[in-house]
Amino acid sequence: MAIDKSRRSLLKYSGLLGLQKFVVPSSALLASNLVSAATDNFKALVFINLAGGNDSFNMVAPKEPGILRDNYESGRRSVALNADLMKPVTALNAPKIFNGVDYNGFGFHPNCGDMADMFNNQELAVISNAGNLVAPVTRTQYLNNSVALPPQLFSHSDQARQLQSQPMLQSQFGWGGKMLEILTGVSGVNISGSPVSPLISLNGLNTFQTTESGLLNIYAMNPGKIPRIISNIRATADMYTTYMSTPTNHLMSRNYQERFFSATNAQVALSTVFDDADASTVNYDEIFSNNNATSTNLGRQLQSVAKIISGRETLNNDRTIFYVRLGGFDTHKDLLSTQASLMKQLNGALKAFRDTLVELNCFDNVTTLVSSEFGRTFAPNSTTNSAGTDHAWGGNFLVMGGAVNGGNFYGTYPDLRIGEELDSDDRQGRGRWIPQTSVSQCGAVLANWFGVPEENLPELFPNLANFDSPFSVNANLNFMA
Amino acid sequence: MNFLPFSRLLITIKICCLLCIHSAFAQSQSLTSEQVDTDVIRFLNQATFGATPESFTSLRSQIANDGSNRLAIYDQWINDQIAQTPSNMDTFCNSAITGITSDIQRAAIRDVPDCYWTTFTSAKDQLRQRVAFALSQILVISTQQVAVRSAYRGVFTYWDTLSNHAFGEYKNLLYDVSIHPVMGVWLSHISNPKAVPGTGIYPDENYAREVMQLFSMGLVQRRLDGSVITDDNGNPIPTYDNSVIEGMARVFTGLSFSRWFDSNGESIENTSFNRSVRPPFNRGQNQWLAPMKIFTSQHDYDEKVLFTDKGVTLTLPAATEKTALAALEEIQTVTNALAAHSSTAPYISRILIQRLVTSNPSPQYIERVATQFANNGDMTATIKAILLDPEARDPNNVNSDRFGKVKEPVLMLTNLFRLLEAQSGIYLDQREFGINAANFDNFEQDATLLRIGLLSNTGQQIMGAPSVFNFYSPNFSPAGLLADEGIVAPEQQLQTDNQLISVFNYYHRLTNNSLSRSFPVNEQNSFLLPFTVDNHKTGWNQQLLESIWNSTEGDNIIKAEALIDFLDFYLNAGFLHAERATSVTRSAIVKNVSESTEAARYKAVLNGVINAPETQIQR
Repeated sequence: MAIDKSRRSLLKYSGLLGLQKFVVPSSALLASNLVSAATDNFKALVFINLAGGNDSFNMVAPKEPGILRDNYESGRRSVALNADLMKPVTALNAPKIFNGVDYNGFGFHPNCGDMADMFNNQELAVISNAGNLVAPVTRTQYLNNSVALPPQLFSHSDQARQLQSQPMLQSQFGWGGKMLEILTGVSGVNISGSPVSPLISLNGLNTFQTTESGLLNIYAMNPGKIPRIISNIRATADMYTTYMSTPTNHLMSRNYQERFFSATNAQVALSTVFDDADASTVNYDEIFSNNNATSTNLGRQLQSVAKIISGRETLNNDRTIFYVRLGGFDTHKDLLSTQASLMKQLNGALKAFRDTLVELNCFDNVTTLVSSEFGRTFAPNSTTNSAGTDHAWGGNFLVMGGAVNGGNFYGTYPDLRIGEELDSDDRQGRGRWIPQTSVSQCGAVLANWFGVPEENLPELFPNLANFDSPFSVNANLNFMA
Repeated sequence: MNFLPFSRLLITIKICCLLCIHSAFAQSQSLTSEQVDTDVIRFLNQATFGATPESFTSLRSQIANDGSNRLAIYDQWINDQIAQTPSNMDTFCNSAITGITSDIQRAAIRDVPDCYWTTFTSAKDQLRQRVAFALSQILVISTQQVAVRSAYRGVFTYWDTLSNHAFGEYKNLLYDVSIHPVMGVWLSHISNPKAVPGTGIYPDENYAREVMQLFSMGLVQRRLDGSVITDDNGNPIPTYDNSVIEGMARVFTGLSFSRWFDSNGESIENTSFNRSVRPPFNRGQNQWLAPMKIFTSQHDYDEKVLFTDKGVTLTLPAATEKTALAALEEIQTVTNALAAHSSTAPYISRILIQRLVTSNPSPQYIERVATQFANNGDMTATIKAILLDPEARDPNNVNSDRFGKVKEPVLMLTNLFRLLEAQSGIYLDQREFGINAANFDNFEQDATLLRIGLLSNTGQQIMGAPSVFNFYSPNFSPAGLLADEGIVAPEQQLQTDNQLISVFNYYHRLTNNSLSRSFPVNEQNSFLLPFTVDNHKTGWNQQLLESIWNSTEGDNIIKAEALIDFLDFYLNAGFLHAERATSVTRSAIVKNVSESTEAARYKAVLNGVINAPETQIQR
């Protein structure tokens, strides 16, 4: 999509001039925004980034006796989960496993009981062994370096960026941000005319929501109430309005001015949304507290997401993309204890979020993707109970929502044999699984559900053509209804 | 107060620099007196935690009005700074905390940030501390991790490791950082055993990776000017692959605490390789004060084939003697080689330039600095090269639309604390209401303990980055205007919509004269006498501004301009004043201040100048 820069700067400066009317809260202004959005047309995508590299072969792992459980125990050794404590899940269709292994006895992490229930209730699905890929690659091709690979495999910063954009050296945009840019050109989808960006981050600026044109910016907020500038002196507010709305010479000053507008424009509408949510019959605190998610990092972020979703008519965007992040997954040490608390947090927050969306009657409109920049070495780095695992490649993702074809495993689960076909590590054999499903394929399915026409998907994922079509039987990615 | 140097500004005429060609600037170029003033302020804002009337006058008085001798004067100033007794964060913080409270356990964590604010604001070794702050954003550890936060004296000694090497050699810094127990905890190479044959157990790769990716050579091969070297297909050439990581992981095996504690909290020799990284933090913290040592049974002494630079592969032969010394020598060989790697000088030099001077240094600037960094990482030469470079000192860069850097919250706040003489009622020296802090004579006279706390809502907690990747990426470029221009602005990664408002509100608190964190009333009981809650309150010196208002002759507009020009001179190197004929910002602040009531006037001018778009930039 060609970007018309002159059009962009024009829009920006019309925004600059428009500041004045947003600085002082005005009920008239809000009323003008209350154009009734067609709620049934509303869709939201929630991208949960488990930052640091989630050891997701302990999030979803073989539980029942069988060849896969044997491979699991012999590979994971000191970090293997106790099968008796795991939460059983039964896939509706037999999971596709590498080398045609026949097995349907998986379990979730012992602290993920609610997630297992959601899976068994067909509200949640697993995407097996997904990761950053330029093109499909076998172990031999990997070791011979005969197929293009994602640059800087195993590096946090690079793999996290690529997960959120492309498996390339540099990123111009994230696939979340680009999705919305494409949708601005799709008829019947209204994502303009709101004072609040449809790209809302609960955890800072990120690659995922970065747009190509810069026309849509990320509104980054902390969970909870929207801060208001505490100056109550009108003259001071006027002073800010005056000097923030006059473009200054320095580019970084200009960026600061734009952020100021975005913040002040959004805060009136968002504060209203939060106030309305708190005054509504939905008891957010109770739902989150029932799931021990009131004060957790992830719980607080998802509670804010739910409140913003509840105000979708006020915000008047047919589409919203949320970015949520939970760190702490870089478990080079103490994998078992660290992951236990992180999984507990994930489980409680997802369940509370799900319960709230059900109560808001929009669980079908919101899809949540849980992913991470890479999985971790299947083999641990110590024999002690403080053993950790190191950076690897493929990992298991989760998708949750009423529109998800839940209760199934998608993609291809590894056969978990260290040093064999799926292990990219030939020197030591540590079980750095080569992904069998690319992030691009997963993203394409989600983007298509979100409203991006199939013919536009290559704009989002230029490497998509290197893989089986995400809609083909071979890809096994039919996870969205 | 000395008001002379700045009043001269009021009568000088703005020199039009539009015709000056940026690259044509030479060190010998004659400057106007106004440009010399500006340059001194810029230099001080690059080299300290903020220019003050005293530091300005002291430097300016030595420089000729055409600026001809300024580089020699700056050079001498740097030498004097290097000669200053280094602040010692560990002894200072311990004495400060024990000086005010009996509740050492809670204070240890709660009061730690006060020591950084105090040191940044009042320590005499400003350049050393500013460089240490820059290094703390490269060789990152973080109190976001509970184990690191609990090791509070280890964090102090880690800071001292950075500041002690600030003018030394980077290779030695890298070695000391690598064997520091807090780094061992943070990047998990403490108690990292060698591989156990036949078990499928291999060493932890965490430190092995980050010491290359973030602390030295970076991910891709670079020329001395920082540009990326590409292969025949135009792809960057990686500096290492995963086999190198696996080899490096074997280097950092066998390290664990050298000290431990007995049941009385006394320091004893550690004899156990596997130790909890979260021992009770009230047992003297002795284990954090000494470098890690080698447990020979856990170190891998076999041959290691490591990274290749300029066609030469670093190979460590199998050790002939499996001693602790041999293992430490192996680590030193590796850290020396990391410092000497051809990509390290440009990679580290660029980030240091970004932290001190400008986010977007030219390749030539990087090359000049990297040349001084050389093989061992000569930090004195590097810092001098950064601060005295023609690009840093070019007076025309004041008017550039991209030169300089955004002041991150810590720098913005310390600039203000220094200029506005922020203080509490707790003095560092021996007077009444003094705590007789260790090394109090390393601080400015009348220095006080700034009881401010974490200020975590600013998004930047000193020694508390979200991860080893620091608060922001050196390559962060906000989407839109800056990305289109290919300009990076790392610190703006913190300037999100929400964060910007939070920071606004912190400045409002500061201008309301009450930046102190709130102390619950019952906490007063844990303060040692004679200190009261009021003693702990930190505010700024409003009389400073009152005296300017009162001593300026003329109507309220002229008085308001004098206030603004004072702040603008030190915070912005006089940028708003220079633009006064056309500056909307300046006239908006003048209007507000001149029309304010006396009660609101000083808050108005501070909020006006601090939050102005122009003030966000360290030019």
